[in-house]
Amino acid sequence: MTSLTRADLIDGLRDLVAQLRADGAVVGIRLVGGAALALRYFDRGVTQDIDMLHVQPGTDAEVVRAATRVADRHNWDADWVNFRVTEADAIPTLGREVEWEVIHDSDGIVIEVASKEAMLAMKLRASRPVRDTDDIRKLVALCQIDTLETAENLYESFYPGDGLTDRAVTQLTNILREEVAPRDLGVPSFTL
Amino acid sequence: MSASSLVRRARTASGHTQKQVARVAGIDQSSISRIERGRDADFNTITRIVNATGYQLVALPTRRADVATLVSNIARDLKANDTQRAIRDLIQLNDNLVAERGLIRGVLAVAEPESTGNPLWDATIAAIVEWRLTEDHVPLPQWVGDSSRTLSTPTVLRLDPADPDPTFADVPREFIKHGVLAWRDTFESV
Repeated sequence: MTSLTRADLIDGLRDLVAQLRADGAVVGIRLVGGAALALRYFDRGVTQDIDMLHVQPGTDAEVVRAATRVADRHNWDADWVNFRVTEADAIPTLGREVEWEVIHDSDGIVIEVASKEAMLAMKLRASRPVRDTDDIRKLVALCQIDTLETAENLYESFYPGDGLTDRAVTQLTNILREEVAPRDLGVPSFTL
Repeated sequence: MSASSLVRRARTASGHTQKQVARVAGIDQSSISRIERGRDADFNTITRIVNATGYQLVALPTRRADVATLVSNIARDLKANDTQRAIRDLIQLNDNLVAERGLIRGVLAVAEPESTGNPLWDATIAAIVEWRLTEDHVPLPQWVGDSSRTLSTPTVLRLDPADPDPTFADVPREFIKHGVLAWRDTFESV
C-alpha cells in the first residue's frame, strides 16, 4: 500500500462506483480531506486513507462492502475508504453549513466534495506543518483570502467561538506575505 | 514491490556484488543486471537470486507496503523534486506502521531501506520507524541506529517556507534523538 496519485484515486473511485452500481446500491457519499482536494481543487497525491462522512442515503456497510472488493482488485488495504474523520472533531457542525459540490451523480450514486471554503476551515483547524501548509496556501488562493482577518472570519463562521491557533496564524501570516492572486489551479475533469 | 526492486534491495543489503550472487545462484550476471533494471523474470529465478543473497521470500498477512518499498518511492519523488509526493509517501509509511501491531509492524521495518540521498529525510525515516516501533514495544532493526541516520545538528523538517518551527516539546523524543525537529501531529491523522 503506497500513496496514490490523483489518477489512482479516480481509478479506485470509478471501480467503486461500478461495484456499487452492480450491487444496485443507492448511496450518497461525501468526501473531505486530501481526496476531496485532489478530485475537485488541485492535483496532489493522497494517502490510502479516503475520508468519507457517513453515507446518506444508503448505509456505510454498502460502501464498505463495495470498497473491500475494489481493494482486493487493486491490492489495497480494505480500509482505504473509511469514516474515521467523523469521529474526530474536524467537520464543522455548529456554524456555517458546509456546502457540497457534486462531482458524480448517476444511477442513484452521488458523490460530493466539501466546498473550498469548508476545506480551508478544516485545514486551518488541523494546520499540521509540512502536511497541511501547501494545501492551506492553495486554498487561500482559491478562496481569494488576502488578509489574516478575512481568514479568521471564515474560520469562525464554520467554528463559532473558536479562534485560529497561534500556529495557524503563523502559517497564514507567512503565506499572506507572498502575493496571493485569485487563481484557478485547474484540475482536469473526469467521469466515474 | 517490483521484482527488480526486490532483487536489487536484497543484494545491496546483503553486501554482495552481482557477480557473487550470480555465481551462487547459477545465473548469468548479465541476467541479474537486466532484472535489477526492470526486466521481468519468472518466480523461480527471482527466488534463486534472493536466496543467493541470504534472504528468502515470505508472504505476510498484510497488503501494506513495507518501509523499504515506500522509501524507494520517496527517493524517486525527491529525485524528481516532487517533495509534496514525497511527503505523502512519508505519511503513508507512518500510517502503514501505525495500522499494524506487534510483529507485523516490526516486520514492515525489517528490510533496510536505501538512502534517499538526503540526510534529513534518511534521519526522519529512521525517527518515524523508531517512534512507531518503540510505542508498540517492538524491537528495532539494526539499520535504525546507523550513524548515517542521525543528524549531528538538529534540523527542522520544513517543506514550505511558511512552516513554523516546533519547540522541543512539540517533537517526539525519537525525532530529537535522530536530530530531526518535526511536529508530532504532522504524522497524526485528523
